Amino acid sequence: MQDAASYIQLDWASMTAGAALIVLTIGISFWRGLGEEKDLTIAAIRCTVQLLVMGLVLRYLFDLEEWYLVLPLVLLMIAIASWESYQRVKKPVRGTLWVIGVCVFIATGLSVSYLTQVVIRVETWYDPQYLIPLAGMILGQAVNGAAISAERLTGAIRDNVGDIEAYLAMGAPPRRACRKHLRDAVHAGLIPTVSAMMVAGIVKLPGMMTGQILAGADPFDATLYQIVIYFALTFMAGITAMMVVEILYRRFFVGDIRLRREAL
Amino acid sequence: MSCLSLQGVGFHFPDDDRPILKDIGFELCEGDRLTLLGPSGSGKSTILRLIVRLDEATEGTIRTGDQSIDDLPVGELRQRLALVPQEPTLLGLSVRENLELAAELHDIGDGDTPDLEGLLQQVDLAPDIIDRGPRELSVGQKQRVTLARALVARPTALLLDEPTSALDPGSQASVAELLDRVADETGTAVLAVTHSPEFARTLGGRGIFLRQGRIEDCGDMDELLDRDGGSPIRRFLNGELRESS
Repeated sequence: MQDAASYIQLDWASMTAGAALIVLTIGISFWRGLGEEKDLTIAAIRCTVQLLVMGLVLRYLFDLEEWYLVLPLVLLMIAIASWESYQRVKKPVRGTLWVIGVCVFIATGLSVSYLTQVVIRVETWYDPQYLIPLAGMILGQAVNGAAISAERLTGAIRDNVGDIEAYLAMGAPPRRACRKHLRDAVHAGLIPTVSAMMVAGIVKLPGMMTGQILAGADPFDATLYQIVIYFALTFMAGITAMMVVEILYRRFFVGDIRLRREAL
Repeated sequence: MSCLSLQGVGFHFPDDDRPILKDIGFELCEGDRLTLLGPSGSGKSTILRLIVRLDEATEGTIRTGDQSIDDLPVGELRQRLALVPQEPTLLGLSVRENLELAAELHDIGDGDTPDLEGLLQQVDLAPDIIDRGPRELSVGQKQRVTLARALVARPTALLLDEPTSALDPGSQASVAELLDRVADETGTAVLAVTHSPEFARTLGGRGIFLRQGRIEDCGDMDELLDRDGGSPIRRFLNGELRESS
């Protein structure tokens, strides 16, 4: 798909010129007294260090191509993504981290296996060139799906205790009492992905496609990859959100009987 | 046979051993009216919640008919004993949708479809409001709709949590008269929690005065409301007993 000659490699001069942009932004913030210098500096340093470490790790893994090195890295990425989602839920109910972790793990496993084995059909199932970038992109979406839907559901149940108990008092099972909130939470979890698909190719060129084109790939080939990736991202966000809300709402109830006071 | 009986019932929160209710006992038979009176925080509403298992009693037994409430499927329990919550929530649905929802949840099938307009008339509502949404109804009308919704499943007892708290005195008396009539016509027992002595007197039947989670006095409602100056209920009615801590 690409070779060393098909794209321009960045040297230190290029990197320095690139860094000038963030330095300029920090300088403008300081000049105008906007107070963003600290956040910008920390974010720029974190981004640089994290990506450099990832780049070096990937280069190392690509050279070795061993499943026992690739798989732990993917598991670590899943753990970090789950933690990141959990952190975004305000006042999470007990067990939320586990619920998110298990759902993200299952959804990632399903999506990545399907993408690598059925759609792209890679020769070696753990080929790090495919597995790691795909897992990375997909996990980004899972973080959104899980965090938004968990946050929305948690808030909705706590804000609607009166209505939920009115349903229960009429003999409704908990799922029926929360049905509207489950739907709303899944819908909210899907909004970023659906919005991105709506404007894809019109308002912005997606990152993966742009990256492939910059690396010398044929634009149409890059487009095909991007379309498949969008579908996978939607599947990921959708299935993560659905699993999270289906398991999480039960944490608010004692069996089929009543709301758990400690969870409210 | 009593349609509801409580014996030695107590309750405390899972993370706090201080009792919210202690040694509560009473019995309710077909067509009975029983009113729970007492200051805020005395545990009146909690009793209703324990009966339909929205909270779980930590002591004692609650029975309906000859069965403990723990042995009944929770759907059947809540069909027999219908709780009308304090906030008249219509769940964002129209009057018709509320009544149909109750029928659906209680598995009242096609052959036994409730007469929705008849139900509205039973609670003194004009049938032409049936397609109105919650925003087109007054608080009093909503209260009556929640009552009609509770009657869809033909419960053996109605449990009403402060049914008149949002109503003016005239409307309070008319709700009490309505409940009195429903109890007479259908044999449904009425267990109501209230702050209002006017409501309690109009509903009649028996009364229980609760304070700090315990029964302090009980008897015929008229006798209870006419107790002399030194009694706790008289002090409560005179505004001398405040919220329990």
